[in-house]
Amino acid sequence: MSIFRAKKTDQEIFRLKKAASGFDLPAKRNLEIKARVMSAIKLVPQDSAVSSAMGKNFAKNPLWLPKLAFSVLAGVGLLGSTVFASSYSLPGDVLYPVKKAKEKLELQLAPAGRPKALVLVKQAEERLHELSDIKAIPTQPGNTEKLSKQKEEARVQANIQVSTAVESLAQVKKDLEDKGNTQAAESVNSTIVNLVARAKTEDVEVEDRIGASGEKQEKAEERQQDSPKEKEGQEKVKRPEGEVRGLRHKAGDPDSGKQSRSQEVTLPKVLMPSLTASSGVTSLPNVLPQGQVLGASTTTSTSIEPQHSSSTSPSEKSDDGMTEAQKKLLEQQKEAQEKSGQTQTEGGR
Amino acid sequence: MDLSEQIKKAQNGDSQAFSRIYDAYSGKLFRYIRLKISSRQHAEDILQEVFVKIWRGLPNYDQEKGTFNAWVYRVAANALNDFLRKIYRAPETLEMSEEFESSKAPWQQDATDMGKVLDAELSLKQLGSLMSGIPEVYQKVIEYRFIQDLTVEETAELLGKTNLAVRLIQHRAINKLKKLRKSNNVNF
Repeated sequence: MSIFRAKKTDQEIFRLKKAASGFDLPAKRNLEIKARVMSAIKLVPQDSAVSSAMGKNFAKNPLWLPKLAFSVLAGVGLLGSTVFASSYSLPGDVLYPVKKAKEKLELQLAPAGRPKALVLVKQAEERLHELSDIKAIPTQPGNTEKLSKQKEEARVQANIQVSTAVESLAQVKKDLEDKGNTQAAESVNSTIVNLVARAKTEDVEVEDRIGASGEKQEKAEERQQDSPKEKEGQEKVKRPEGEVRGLRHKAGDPDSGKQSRSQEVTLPKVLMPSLTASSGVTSLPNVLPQGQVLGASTTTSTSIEPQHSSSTSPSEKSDDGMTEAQKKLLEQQKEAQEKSGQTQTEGGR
Repeated sequence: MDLSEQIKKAQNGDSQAFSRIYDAYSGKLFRYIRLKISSRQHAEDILQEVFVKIWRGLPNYDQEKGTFNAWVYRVAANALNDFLRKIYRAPETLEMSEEFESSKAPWQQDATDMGKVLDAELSLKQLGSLMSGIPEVYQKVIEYRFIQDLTVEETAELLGKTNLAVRLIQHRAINKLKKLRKSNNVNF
């Protein structure tokens, strides 16, 4: 019975296979397609080992793309949340450096001029807020020391930031005034006043040189413009190292001519005669004739060291605002002028 | 020679080995494609494309991940999908005469005579109409076993069933088709 059934099934399968032979590809046609395929594969290179290795790795983990996307999103989210959380941090907190870094980036991205000044103002206000927040924290036995440190840190930060902001605003105001935009300058001025007033409420002293409204600074600038010589003199007295270096080169090193000449050009007019006399430099015809300078050098060269030792300490000022070094130099200048007058009269005779 | 050895050689760029792979799979793949595509000409083009894709992707094939058979059918399925997508985007009218024009199909000129071709087409149509009357899983087993000529093991792997289950389904499907054929008075 079972053999009979099996025979019938086989017949049915044969019928099916016969019917399915309609799907077969005739041998000749198959050969033609094979020839086409074989010639095509000669032109088509197989996938490289690197890409296949990559394919294997990706195939082993079919979720690599969603995983990558998720990790990138998670990273961005974590960074964003950290930066956001840092905006509530106070000086001394763990996230405070993140906040400062964010502000630094903000400042660097801001265009120069008014936008940058406004960013500085915003940051100064933030410092003042931080200071008031720290002041609002109630003192407890455990946190007294930490709190006082935080308060001090916040005060220093606020001082620096407010000073920087006011300085920047003053510059913007000056630029606006130069352009004749008085209305905008006034608005900037009011910002300065408000910021300084706000700083005062938090007991933050803004430096005097800046001025509460920027007017003092302007006056100071005007004064500087009126007396550029004085300014130049002050700058040079504050930088004695260059002078000393210049003199040393002139006296001992003959190869340093260029450097010493460049020093001469920048030297203040008050110091010029004595320095040229002491170092034996002959390239200043407008100051003194050559022979007289050389003659004077023998007399004044001994006083170089004391002059510079005194000039390195600009804090030692007399009542009329001149340093002792400047006084000595003036005296030497007078002496040199007198001598030159004598030689001129002798030559005339 | 063992096919797995040929596969390894072909993976290293041996075209002779690939030629043997072609011989082993061209018939099966053509039937598989022809089942989905009514146009013989298109089926031939797709077959050619499938073999070029197999050649290109051979270095990516990893024996540990599955049988070569399953991989080859996956490549063919992707090529078919690409073709169908293309057709869907730019529909093309295929005339029935195309299937029977001897000038367009060189193999037909030498296929003893046109009568055989027509018989084969008719048988296919009849088989198709009978197949639509049996459950889907029966259809698949008949397709894999007798049209694509796969083994019981390969069919079981593709359907995710045991060998025994495949044999059982095959037996029931044949009986069902026989009944249908007799009741519809169809002979192929």
